[in-house]
Amino acid sequence: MAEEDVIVDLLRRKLSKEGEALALALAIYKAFLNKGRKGVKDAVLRWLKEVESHGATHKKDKS
Amino acid sequence: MGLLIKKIRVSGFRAFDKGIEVSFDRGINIILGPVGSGKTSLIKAIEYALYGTVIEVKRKLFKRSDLVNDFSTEAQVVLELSRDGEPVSIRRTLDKKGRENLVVTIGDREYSGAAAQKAINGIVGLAHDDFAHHIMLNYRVLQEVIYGSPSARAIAIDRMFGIDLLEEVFRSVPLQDVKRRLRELELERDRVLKTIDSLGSLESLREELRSLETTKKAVESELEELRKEREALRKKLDELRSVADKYYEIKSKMERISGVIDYYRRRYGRELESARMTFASYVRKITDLLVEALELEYEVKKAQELKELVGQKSGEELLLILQAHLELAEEGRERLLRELHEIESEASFKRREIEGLRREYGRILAYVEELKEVKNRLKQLESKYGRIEEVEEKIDKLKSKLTTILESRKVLKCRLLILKEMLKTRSNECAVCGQPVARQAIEERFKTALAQLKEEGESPSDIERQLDVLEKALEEMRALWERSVELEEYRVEAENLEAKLRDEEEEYRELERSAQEYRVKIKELAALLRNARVTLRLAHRYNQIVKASEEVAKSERELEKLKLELSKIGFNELEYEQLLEKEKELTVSITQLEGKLGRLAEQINELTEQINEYRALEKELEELENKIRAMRALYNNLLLAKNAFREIQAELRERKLALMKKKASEAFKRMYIYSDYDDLDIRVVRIERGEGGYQRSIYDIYARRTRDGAWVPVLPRLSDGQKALIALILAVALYGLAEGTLGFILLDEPVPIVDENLKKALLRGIKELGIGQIILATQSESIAGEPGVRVINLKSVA
Repeated sequence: MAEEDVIVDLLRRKLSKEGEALALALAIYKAFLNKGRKGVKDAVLRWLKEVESHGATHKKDKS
Repeated sequence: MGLLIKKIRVSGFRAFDKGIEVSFDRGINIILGPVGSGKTSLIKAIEYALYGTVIEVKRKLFKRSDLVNDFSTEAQVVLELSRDGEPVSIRRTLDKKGRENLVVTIGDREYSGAAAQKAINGIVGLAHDDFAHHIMLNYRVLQEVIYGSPSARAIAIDRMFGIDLLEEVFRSVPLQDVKRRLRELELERDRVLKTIDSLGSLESLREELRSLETTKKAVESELEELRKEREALRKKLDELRSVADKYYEIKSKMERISGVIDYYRRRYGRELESARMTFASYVRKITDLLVEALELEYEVKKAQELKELVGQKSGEELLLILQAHLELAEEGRERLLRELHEIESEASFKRREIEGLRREYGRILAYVEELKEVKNRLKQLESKYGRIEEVEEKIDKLKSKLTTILESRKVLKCRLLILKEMLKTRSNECAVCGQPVARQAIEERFKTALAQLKEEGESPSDIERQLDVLEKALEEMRALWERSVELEEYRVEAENLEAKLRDEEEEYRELERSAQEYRVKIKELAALLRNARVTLRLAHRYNQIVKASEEVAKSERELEKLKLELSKIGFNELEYEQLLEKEKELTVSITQLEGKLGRLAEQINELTEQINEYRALEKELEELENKIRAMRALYNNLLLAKNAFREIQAELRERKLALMKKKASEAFKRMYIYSDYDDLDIRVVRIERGEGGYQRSIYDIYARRTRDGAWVPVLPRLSDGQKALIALILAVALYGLAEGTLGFILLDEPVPIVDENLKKALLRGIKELGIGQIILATQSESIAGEPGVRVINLKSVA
């Protein structure tokens, strides 16, 4: 199993009861692999804006 | 087995100016050579072939061009590798200017440029820094494992465990931004709540609004009633207005006229009645004054003209004429003043002239006095010595007399001399004629002659004195005569000047008299004109009063006429005034009610705005609450997610660390041949700091002391040689855990400070670790003699 898959698997196992947190963790991991630290910061700021405007983050972005 | 090194060809690179070719086998390859033989250069050539640079260049310790040997134009490195049996070839050339050419061949595929480097990265699978720290080990790198900071050691070990990325992910989540925003939203919510509290309850606001609207309706109804009443009143007033306007117009006129009459009466009083007579008397007085003044100025014709005009004119015209004649008289006075000035200046000139003449006369009088003195002196001398001709005659006589006396005395003196000589010589002959003379006769003659000389009448000296006196007197008389002749001219001139002075003084006195006459006349004129001016001003005033009396009479007539007209209109002023007053009161009441209504409307508006604001704030509060809930949920979820990465990292670390500990412990037991320490352990310590998890995990290294079985920290307790050995053991153990594709390790004199026995034990221990290929550069010939190693002696290769 590739290292990335190992980590995703571990995350799913750790946050299996926290659906929202799991979605965020996976999104963070993906953003980090794609764009590094800046990718994570941008994603978090985007969620902040969504919370400001809609009261919650979009499901689409968390996947 | 991963990637293994088969062969390397190096030329012009660092220590190698000539070409060198070295082959490597699996297992342990020892590069043997003395200091400066090129061991490190060979290791660096492998690094350069894989990464296109060396770590020292990357850290800017030296330049890329320094890789080229000083006696070569370019460096060339050809590295041949084997990747699980597949041949890989890397060829790099580098010139002095840093230009590089790279060709990579993998199997039958060839790459160049950027693609070639990408292909190498794919094969090696390890970053350059990791390669420099974990694959290419030397004494300096191993020292860092022990003496480097715990944080750097932790980073290095985490990287080799492949869990460093999780640390990065953990640290990259900006939880503080979310928390800060959450705090801002909470503060905003508190502010809104505070504002809502300050507005009071919504129900009380609504109650107040209802009460205000009821009051407003009552006021509107009252206002409507008053407006109707006022409308009816205004209609009635409109009907009366035309008659009232006429009535008030006449009344206003009467008031104005009465005002004029009152004004004049207040201002002039009794003068109004006597004004005409007073004016006439003043006119007469001015006329008399001006006539007198004009006559004084010899303007008789003008004076006559004035008399005639005064009888013909009246009022303003008459005053203008008087004013004109007054100015005429003033001009006359000015003219007389100018004439006076001329006379005065002429008199002044004359006075200065007289003074000059007097000074001249005084000077000449001094000569006349001198003439008198000269004449007196001359008269005295004449009375003493006679006239000048007589004195001259006397002097001539005295001169001839003196000559005669002097002649006779001369003869007598000769005779005496002769006689004296004859007496002296006792001669009896006459010395003159030679005739014999008796001595006695001679003596007689001598005595006679001597008596004659003594008895001679007047002596010459007396005559000479007389002559001298007379000559001096004559000289003085002649001088006095000449001076008297000179001074006689001054006497004549003095007589002439005296006559002229008398004439000039007479003229001056005449001018003074004339000037005095002018002064008197001007003074008299000034008094007359001053009087005339004052009287003219009074006349002007009384002319105004005359006019006012005429105006009063006219106004009184007009007032009588208006009174008659007013009585004919038949208007009830009192009733009309009451109606107007009533209308005014109604207007005031309406205005007050309108103001009250406006204020009520404003209050209602304010209350409505407050209620709307209240609702808006409630809505805002609801939105903020929603946001805070969502933000808090986001924060909590992010915290969970973030911590999850740390937890996974810890879990993976535990797994890898257990393996590493095992390998390190085994390696230590094999390699460390002495008995003071018998085991090695690596422990994880969490540094707690901040919120949302611990700061970092660091690794501490412990060795077990055989004597008491205690685990002691390596850094403060063990010797440098022991620490170097442990560093090598850890590095090799880490190498075994690395997830890279490399099958070799490069050791460049890793532990120079340990003894030869330990070095041999180390070599044996490394061999047992199961690493595919070990390339060890050393100058220790003893370990080169170990069995099962391939020795590459650089000296013999060169």
